[in-house]
Amino acid sequence: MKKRKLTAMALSLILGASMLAASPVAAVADSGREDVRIQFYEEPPTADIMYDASVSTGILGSNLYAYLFELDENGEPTGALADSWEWNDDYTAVTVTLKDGIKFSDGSEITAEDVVFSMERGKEAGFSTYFSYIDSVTANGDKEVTFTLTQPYTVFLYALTTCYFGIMSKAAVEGGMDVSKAPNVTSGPYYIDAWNMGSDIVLKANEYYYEGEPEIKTADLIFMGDENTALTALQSGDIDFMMSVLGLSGSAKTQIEETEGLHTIPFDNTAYTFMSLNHDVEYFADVNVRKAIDCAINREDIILASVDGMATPASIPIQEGLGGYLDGYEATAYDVEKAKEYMAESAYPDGFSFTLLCGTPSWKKVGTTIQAELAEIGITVNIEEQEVGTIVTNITGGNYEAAIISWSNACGDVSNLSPMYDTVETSMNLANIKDDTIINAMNASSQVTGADREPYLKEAYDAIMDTVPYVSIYWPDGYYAAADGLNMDAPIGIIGQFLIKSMSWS
Amino acid sequence: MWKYIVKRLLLLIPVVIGVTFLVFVIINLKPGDPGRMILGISATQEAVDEYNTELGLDRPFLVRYADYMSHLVRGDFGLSWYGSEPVLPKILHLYPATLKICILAILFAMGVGIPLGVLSAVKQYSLADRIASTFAMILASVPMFWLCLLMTLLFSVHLKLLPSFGLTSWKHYIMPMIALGSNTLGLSIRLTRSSMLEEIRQDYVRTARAKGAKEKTVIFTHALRNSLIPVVTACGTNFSLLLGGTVFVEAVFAIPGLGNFLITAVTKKDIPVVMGCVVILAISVVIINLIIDIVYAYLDPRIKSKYQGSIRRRRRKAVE
Repeated sequence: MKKRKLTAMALSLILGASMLAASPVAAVADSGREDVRIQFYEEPPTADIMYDASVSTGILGSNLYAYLFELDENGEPTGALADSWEWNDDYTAVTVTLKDGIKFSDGSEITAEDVVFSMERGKEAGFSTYFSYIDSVTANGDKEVTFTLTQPYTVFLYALTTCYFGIMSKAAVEGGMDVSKAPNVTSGPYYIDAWNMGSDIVLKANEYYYEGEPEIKTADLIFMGDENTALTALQSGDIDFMMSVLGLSGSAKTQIEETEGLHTIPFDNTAYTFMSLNHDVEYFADVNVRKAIDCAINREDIILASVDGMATPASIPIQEGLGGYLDGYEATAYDVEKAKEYMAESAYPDGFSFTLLCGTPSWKKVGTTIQAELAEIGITVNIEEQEVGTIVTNITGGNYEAAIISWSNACGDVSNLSPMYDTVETSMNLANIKDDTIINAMNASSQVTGADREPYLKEAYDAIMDTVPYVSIYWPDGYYAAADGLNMDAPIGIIGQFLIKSMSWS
Repeated sequence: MWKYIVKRLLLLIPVVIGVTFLVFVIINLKPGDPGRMILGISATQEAVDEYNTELGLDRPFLVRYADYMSHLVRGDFGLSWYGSEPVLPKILHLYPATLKICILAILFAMGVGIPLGVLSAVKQYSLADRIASTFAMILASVPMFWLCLLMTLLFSVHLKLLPSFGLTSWKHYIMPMIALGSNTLGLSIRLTRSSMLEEIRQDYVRTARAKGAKEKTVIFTHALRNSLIPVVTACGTNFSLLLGGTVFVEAVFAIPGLGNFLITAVTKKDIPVVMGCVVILAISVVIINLIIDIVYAYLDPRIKSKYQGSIRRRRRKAVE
């Protein structure tokens, strides 16, 4: 009898625990709060935006420093610390006038001298190729700065929105402020109140911020690399926001949407995934082979297999909402018969085999789907996994046949994709574009402004769609997750930017 | 005894050299260009090559290893390749959290496991014995990640009793301690039980009973002490494994510890950090093993007298 009772008790406990584990529990929505606890996907190596290329450093910096320009809701650069600006006639110099009454977090005035100091510091560090466009920066009095460029470069204002161009206090830095771990004199919406090694960073609102003190007064950035850990922390109410560079995975998004008290926040993800083809390899020098591959891959299938359906089939290298996007370009339709026709017209009607380099697990899934699809037109794909950096090195050195690669836009304009083609400043040529028509048109588009850019961009995009120098695959969708009541206004997923100042509790 | 301790501590030198060399080889074989990883995908190959030269990666492997070791013996663990932060202060800041979790896990495993094992042995074939044995078997076979996930779902998400991450209050230690110590707990129950069963059938236990000693004295004073030797050996060995296991537990519970730091460094191929963590862990394992040996001597006077006896013999020989 005693035994049966004990067994029944044990079974009830197990059953109870299982039921609890299966039932959704609402997270409590908070209102009137002025603090937020954010999952931060890794501990940034430093807060010094100019001396580190890590995305996490850029994200932290975008909350610590104000910029001369920032992107508006349409993805266009608009004055932040800059009140007005004027280009010279040939677009080789731009003079920027600072707003009146702009201050650092210690109440001291932000002057042209601070801007010059910051730009020179960034140029000396050399972590951004954009600094190579700057020939000199000079202060004309307290409120005016002139940037002299090495060449006409109208999209320079986009460059000034990137994380490396934050404005630092010359007096504080030269006075010995710990820029790497404790920058407490900042121009941005927040300053670092505490950096608890390995655990979290506490940001406090800057009361002198040029747009006014942010609604969120305290932000705790909690280092949490594992998505599942962050998900349970959000579900248990231990954090309020889940942040990762590329957004939630498909399974996490589904779980968030099924949990009462939580919601997802979509953002414009600027990543672009494509298949780079080495034109020095004989098969890929043949335009019909490239066109056959373009038609033979089913982008919808690839998206479903690699990113749980959370992406849009890509056509041109820039997505809607970002600088340089043009309407009217659709992703190539999946058409095996047409692909076979192209193969028949090529110099390799019986097919061939090549090695496809894949880096991340999701890229490998892209590769595997492509492998199956190209088999239908007689092309054998051998997949080789390599670390992403190694793939980039191999592409740059020409030691590859084909590779799946992704590029995340850091400034919101198509000009940021310059490492995809052969340019003077980077010479990376990730997409292996060697067509002068495309290169010249892309370069020309960054030397004019507004509607004048369109003809050049159209010329470049038409050539990309017609000659398929590389195969566009997808633009991923991005989602953050938050507790109900916590909102974030129009987040733009520029890599290295995540603005806590746009958050508020309702 | 002191001589023995010094001798064991001297063993640290070959151990550290061996471990560092092995890890240096493995981490260097790991694919990935550090310069590219540090400067980012958009950096030019020229800049990447220049940075790699600055890091000394253009030098031969053995030269780099010798250079690292020459700095290490002077207490210079180097700078992290990301953010140029000194490695040693960060390790020393993070290590106590890792150590605390491991110690709590082993104390939990032994504190619960030994009494359950004794109960199981003393009441052999009873219901308590069966429950304890089943419990031990389940704990020994449950994968750590599954237990971590189940516990966070139950205690954090649904019951909201325990925090799901971090290490700021006593409540934060409970789940990591249980997750990390569960396998060792299962092991210690089973080992204590079998060892205790062996001991209570020994002649000296029978003699103690015949002399009219109380059952409590027979079990706890005579049998338990001797049956603990294999348990201490297993738990000691497991302590070294637990230090490795914290990598997973720290990641799941977002604990600011050495494991989390190490795994991030391995991912980023931050060689100075990886090497620094490994050196500290290797030293810890040697010291833990030494402590276990000292505990042996305390638990079993035969070991101590054997060691002292050998010293006496040597001294006598020297006099002769």
